[in-house]
Amino acid sequence: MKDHQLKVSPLAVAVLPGIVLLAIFFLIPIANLTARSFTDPVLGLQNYKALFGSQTYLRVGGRTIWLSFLAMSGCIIIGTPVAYAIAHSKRQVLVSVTLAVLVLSFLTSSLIRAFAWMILFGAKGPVVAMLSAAGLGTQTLLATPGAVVIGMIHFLLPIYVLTAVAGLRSMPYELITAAEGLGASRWYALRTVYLPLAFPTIGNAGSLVFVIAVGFFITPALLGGPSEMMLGQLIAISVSKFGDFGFAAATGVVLMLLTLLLLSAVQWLSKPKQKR
Amino acid sequence: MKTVVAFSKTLIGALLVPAFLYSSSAHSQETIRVSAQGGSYDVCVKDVYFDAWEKETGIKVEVTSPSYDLGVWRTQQETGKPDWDVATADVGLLHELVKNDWVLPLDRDLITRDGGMIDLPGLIPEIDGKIYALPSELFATVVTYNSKTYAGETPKTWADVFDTAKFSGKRMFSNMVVDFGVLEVALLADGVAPKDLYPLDVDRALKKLDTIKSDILWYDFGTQQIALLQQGDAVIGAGWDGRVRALQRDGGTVEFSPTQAIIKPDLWVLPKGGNFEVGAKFLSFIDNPERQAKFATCVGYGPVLRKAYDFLPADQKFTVDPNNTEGFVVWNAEYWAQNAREVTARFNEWLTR
Repeated sequence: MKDHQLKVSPLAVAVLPGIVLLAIFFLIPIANLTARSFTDPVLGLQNYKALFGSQTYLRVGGRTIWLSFLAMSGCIIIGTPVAYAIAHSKRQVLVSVTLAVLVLSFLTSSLIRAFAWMILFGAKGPVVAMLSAAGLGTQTLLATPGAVVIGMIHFLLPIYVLTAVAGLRSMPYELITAAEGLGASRWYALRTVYLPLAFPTIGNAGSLVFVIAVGFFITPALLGGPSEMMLGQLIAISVSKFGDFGFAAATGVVLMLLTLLLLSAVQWLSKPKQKR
Repeated sequence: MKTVVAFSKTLIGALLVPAFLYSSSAHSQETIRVSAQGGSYDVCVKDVYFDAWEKETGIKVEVTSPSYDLGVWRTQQETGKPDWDVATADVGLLHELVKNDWVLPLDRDLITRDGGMIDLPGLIPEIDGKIYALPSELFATVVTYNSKTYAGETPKTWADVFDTAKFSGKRMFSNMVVDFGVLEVALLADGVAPKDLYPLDVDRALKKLDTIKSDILWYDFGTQQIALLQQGDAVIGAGWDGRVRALQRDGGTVEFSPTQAIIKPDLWVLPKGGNFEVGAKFLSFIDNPERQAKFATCVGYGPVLRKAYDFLPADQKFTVDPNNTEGFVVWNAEYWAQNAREVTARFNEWLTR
């Protein structure tokens, strides 16, 4: 190979197919959707006017964000220690078993999982039985925010953990050993050395599950009531009952922009901060 | 570089797959594409209609996507590629389809052949003097309850369903206000006579629903009725007669009362762009009293052909008695065709409040 020959960077070759696929199957449809929200049924802003003029959509939109935030927080609180253990544990068997359990639950369809939770939270389910044994009688836990958030966390946790493990594996674990060598307790070292460095990873994995949560449809439909309704359900109604593609597209566009806005906030917050 | 070329070829090939599938699924005389419905309906349609049809005509039935979704219709009609030669619909959907010019008018002879339909006003959906759909069975929203919970006095009317003092426990209703009559039910419970029901007094209905709002479990899908009743999350409410019968067959302790049932016919339509000739032939085939009786027995929804009732097993009773069609409400498609969007918006505002 001569020096002055044009070199195709292997990196470019590697990312090209992905970019082509994304452009065809993601960017063009998104552009199409956005265009539709301004043109269907007629050119104008009527879809957005209707959307922002609707109490229902504002209310349900707020709940969608709130429930997704709760689900994301749940994943961070429950999932981060698990990801930490998988990333740094020396016990290969434990790591393999934990990963296997995560991947297996990830492979079960969301519909089946939502139905399983319906039974668990239902009137004859074990959770109601435990609560009444503890003297906290209730007839059913269906149509409660708790049921929906737990159902969501169950679906999202494997995604969160697997994403976080990849990031945490690249963390310099020796820093903890070093801090302990300098007299810090394990907890103190984790809190002051490890966690600040892990923030971007936690932020990324958290953002990912938040984005997925915002689009949930089947879980709130089966486990929640009207107070846990999410935008996915309303979008489905406007498409399948009324064929209102323009209005549904407008709802989708607003939800997408809102999600992007919240994500940039999360990204900004999880940037490693310099202590001054 | 070679690899890249090979990969690009594969990628281009993959992108062309949909186009290929498209061309290969072009109609041939040997198949008829029928929409799916889901659940036990599909099983019964196959056992009673499809198998006999294939034997008689030699035309293979290909079951495709479900057709109870206006969004799917719109996509198919916009691309000019309908997925069905014959599709199922309900009255509300039919009005939208006719408005958009997506279904073809049918031969009137289908409706009036050998004795015709049972005498239920509004059963045959006629739009602008034309008939666009063949009714095949009656689907009813009925007072449904757990027979173990109410072993003594049983609920009979919608007023009973709203009486939380007499019949305690959670109530179930569909939150699809257009389709499954929760506003109609509330007005009947409030004492409105069936003949005065339409146009609906939405405010009055919502006020009545407010009285039991905290006791209601709302379902999005028919399947949830079964789950809620079986688990005892809901013990009373609005169910569908066919679903309740299916649950009874599986040993569930559920019962329903036919009083004040809200009736809706299930319809067959011929989509624009499908194979009209073979579709019309298929409709003639299923418009047959003996087959319809068999189908009704299988699926649990009552037949529409008057003569079909003569072929039923002696112990087989349906919600609607063809000799006495008093006291039922036929779901009013004209009202909903004009008011569906606005009423749905108002209901959802109330629901999510």
